[in-house]
Amino acid sequence: MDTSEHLLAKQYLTNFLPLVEHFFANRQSNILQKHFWKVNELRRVGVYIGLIIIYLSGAVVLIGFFSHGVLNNAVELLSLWVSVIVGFALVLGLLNVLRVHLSRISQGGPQASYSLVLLLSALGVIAAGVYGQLTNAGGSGQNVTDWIFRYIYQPLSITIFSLLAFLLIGAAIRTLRIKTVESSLLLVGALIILLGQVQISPFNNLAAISQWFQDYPVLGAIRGVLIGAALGAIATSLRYLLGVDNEYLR
Amino acid sequence: MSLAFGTSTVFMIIVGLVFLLLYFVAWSQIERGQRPNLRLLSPLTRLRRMIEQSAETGTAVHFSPGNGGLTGQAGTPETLNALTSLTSVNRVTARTNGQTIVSTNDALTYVIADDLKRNQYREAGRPEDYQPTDTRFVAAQDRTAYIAGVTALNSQPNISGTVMIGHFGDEVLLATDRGVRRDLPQITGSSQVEALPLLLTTAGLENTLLGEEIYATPAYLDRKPAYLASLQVQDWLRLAVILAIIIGTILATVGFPIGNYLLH
Repeated sequence: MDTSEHLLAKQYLTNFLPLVEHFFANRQSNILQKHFWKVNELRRVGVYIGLIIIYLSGAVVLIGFFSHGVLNNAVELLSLWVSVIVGFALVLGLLNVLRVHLSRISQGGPQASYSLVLLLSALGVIAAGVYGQLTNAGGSGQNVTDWIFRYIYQPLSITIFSLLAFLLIGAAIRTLRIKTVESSLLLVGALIILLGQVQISPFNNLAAISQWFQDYPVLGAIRGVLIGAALGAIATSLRYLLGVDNEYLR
Repeated sequence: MSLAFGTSTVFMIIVGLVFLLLYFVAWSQIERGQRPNLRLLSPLTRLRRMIEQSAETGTAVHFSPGNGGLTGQAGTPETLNALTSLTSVNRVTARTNGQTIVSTNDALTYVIADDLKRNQYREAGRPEDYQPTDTRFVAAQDRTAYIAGVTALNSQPNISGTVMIGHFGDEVLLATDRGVRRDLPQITGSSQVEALPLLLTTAGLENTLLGEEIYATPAYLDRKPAYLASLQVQDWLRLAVILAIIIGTILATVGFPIGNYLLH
């Protein structure tokens, strides 16, 4: 950069930037601010259109739920539109998977190999599925997809779930190490329920106590949680239907 | 066109209308300055502190909205509530120069969560800090694959805290156990009774939102009148349900089972 460019840059920094700041500060008199105001207005109109769609869809689904007849077709049509939207959202999701894992592969590191395996597996399964659909439903592509799910995915899934038993024991031991009233109650409750399930002579009498625990205190607590959760679910659903929760429209 | 009205349908409509009426009454009261007193919910106080600490240390907070979906699957209300909570969390994160990584188990949830994140950064005046890879599509309605992804995220060194508030099953133990082994601060919450004991034994009572408490998250984090009103109406209706149970029990004891009549 020669001296004249230096001077121009200095002039820009000292003269132009304060002007820009002034434009933004003075709302009435600047063109830029008016442009942004227009953008905000357009965004606000977009929110209103979104809210109208929400009210109409909500009304159609609710009336369809409480009636038999005319609106059933409209409800089915809305469900179909949802399926189409979900299909497009799935494509966006797949693009996100590609973006996240390609960036991890390009950065290198210990996680890169896992990302590579994930991408290759995903692309392999997609290719097998597409090939199966293009040829015929019972073709070799379909067989490959079935094989992957039956012999790779399901055993892996079951293995992950079987780990829960060991993790649960570990979690229980950790909890019991914390010597509080709650953990002592947990220990007593767990022992009564567990021994109540064992049909061995000294513990036979505990079966009735165990059953009583499950039928009254435990069931009562569960119902309490469910009633509270149901009220929360109603509140959240109504907020969305009324358009009060509309951050996703902005 | 015929109406599908039975006793239970009428009862549902009455409950809905009463809820709506009370909601607007509570909202107007709060707008006039009569704010409800919120009891201390330790997990939410810790959540705010966790976000601030992550911003100070330059690390990220992981947010999981649960394994529910938005297209009729189980857990739609929990997922909607988790998305509202995510908005509140994102707002705090965007203002404190922090970072949130969101993992989703549903395509629509992913799209909405990503959009919410972009909006919050734009509103906070930091649109350049929005990273599309911070919202991740982990699985498409697959509990096992999703929890494996969440567990992997909880293992990452740049994650300094995890928030798991939403619809979870017993598989949540895999993720929370990983957090315990890493000494990772965890804020958890679910309305599913099979997940609650597992969350309590791993994350701890002081870090777990029990049942309906998950629906209080937006009101506690944002303090918006609309959220506070919703919370207040939930409390009023809970009181009404308790009274109804007591009255129903007395009536059933004297030979008038009103509960059976309403539910048939």
